[in-house]
Amino acid sequence: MKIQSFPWPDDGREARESITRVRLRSVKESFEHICRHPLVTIFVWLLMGIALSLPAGFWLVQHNIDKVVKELSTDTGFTVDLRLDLPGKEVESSADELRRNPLVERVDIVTATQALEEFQLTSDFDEVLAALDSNPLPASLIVTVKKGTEREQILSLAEKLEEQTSIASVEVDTEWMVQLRQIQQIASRLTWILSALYGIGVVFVSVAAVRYAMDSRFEELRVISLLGATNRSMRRPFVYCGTLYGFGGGVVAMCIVILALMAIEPPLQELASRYGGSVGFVAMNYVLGAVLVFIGSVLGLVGALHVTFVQMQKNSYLNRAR
Amino acid sequence: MTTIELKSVGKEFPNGFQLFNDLNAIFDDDAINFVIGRSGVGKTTLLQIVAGLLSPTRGEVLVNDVNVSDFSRVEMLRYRKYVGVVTQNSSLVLDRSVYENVAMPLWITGMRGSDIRHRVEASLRIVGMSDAHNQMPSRLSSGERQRVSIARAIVHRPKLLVADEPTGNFDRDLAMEVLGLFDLFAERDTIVLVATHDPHLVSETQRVFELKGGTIELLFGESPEQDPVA
Repeated sequence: MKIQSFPWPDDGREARESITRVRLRSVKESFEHICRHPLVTIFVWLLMGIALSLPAGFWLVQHNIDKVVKELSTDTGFTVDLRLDLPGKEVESSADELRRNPLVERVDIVTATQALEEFQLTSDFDEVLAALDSNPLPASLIVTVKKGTEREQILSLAEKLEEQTSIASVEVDTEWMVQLRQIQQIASRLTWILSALYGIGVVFVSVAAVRYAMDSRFEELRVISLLGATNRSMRRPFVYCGTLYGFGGGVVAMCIVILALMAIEPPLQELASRYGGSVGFVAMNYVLGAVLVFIGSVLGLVGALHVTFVQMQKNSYLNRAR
Repeated sequence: MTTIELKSVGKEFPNGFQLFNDLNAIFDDDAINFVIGRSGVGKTTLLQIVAGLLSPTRGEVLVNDVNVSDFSRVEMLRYRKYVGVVTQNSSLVLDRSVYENVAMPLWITGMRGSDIRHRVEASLRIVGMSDAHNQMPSRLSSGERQRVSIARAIVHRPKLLVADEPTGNFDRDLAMEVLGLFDLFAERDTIVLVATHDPHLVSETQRVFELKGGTIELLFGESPEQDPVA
């Protein structure tokens, strides 16, 4: 850079200057503004917090659905109902034959007697069943396929089994898995869309709040531009202010998500226990909280950078500061 | 000694309006340099050009023979740390205390807190407002506000002090009192430039320039270049 000679010799004034102190002063001014307008600040934090908590909540729901899908898909299998008159030995041999299939992980035998006992426990047909001469229920095989087996492979195996004479029917219930995967995809896309929309919303809130802050200190800005402040130094307190708004919004969002999860945890646990209680749900933790606060701060910063830049360009008084 | 020389200075605004085209004058720090002229002739614009708040569209502003109108942004920001500005309506921030108003130019530079305190106290003492530290500008009279404004203009020890209609609509006694403060700085090797539309504030014993019809002329006093001692 070209350094031209200066009209006056250095009298040591520049040695007493410090950009660090200027920045600290800006941080102090940002805090002062926030403290001077507590209602506005709380309102902004709540708005940003609600806007951030919705995509965060959706993300957690989607993440939990992913987890459920992943864990439940390992238990996928089907039920083979054997013929009524099939002797016990042949039940065993059918089970052994199935166990040899490379897709099959495990085969559990439910004898006709066990099936009847279970039915009696879960139904009110005790008298009807007692009146029957023989057990109307067949023996069955509960087949668990190996992890990662595709639905089409399961259906193909079921079709082949149905052709066997010892087997009466094969019940494949993979439809709910398909539905769950579809829900998973919808939740995933919805999360991204909502995150983008609410993220833009947070930026808008930051823009409005910082613009209000600049308008409320317009006279001061005009004066300090006259006193020789640079555009950058005039923008700085407001940029920090927007970041603080975003930071606070992130903290509020974290609290909202924690409270919401506390409220829905009991029914979630109940749901998990119905499926064997093996699913550990993902909840808010330090990392997620930090990410939420970071995203809030960045969005607040983006809004503040935008509005301070636009205001400085637009305002003729401030432009005089070169 | 500090001198400011205007060489063929012109200012044209983006809408095509040409305020002046060929201003030539020399100001120095021997005495207050008054610039008089009717409203709208360009006194404020001239002061802003000298203070580095506006750029001329042509010509040179030489401060101690250095052309400041050619300064880069960084150089201009440095230059403005040596300039104090006083305006007609005092331009105090009403929701800041007197102390905070005076400290503003030093906050901008990031000076240490203890240094700021000493400087602000000294400046307020010079303008006779030592007891007004914590007062809000809205509770001060217009004369007191202007004193605070002057304290703010001198707090960073400027080498050049520009005052645009500093006496405003003050009565003559108050106006003379304020101008007396500027005399103090002129005696301390600070070049003082005062613009006023009121010809009654100046006398033939002072150095007075008149801005009229796009030109500037020395009305009273001696130009530094004509001064045999200089």
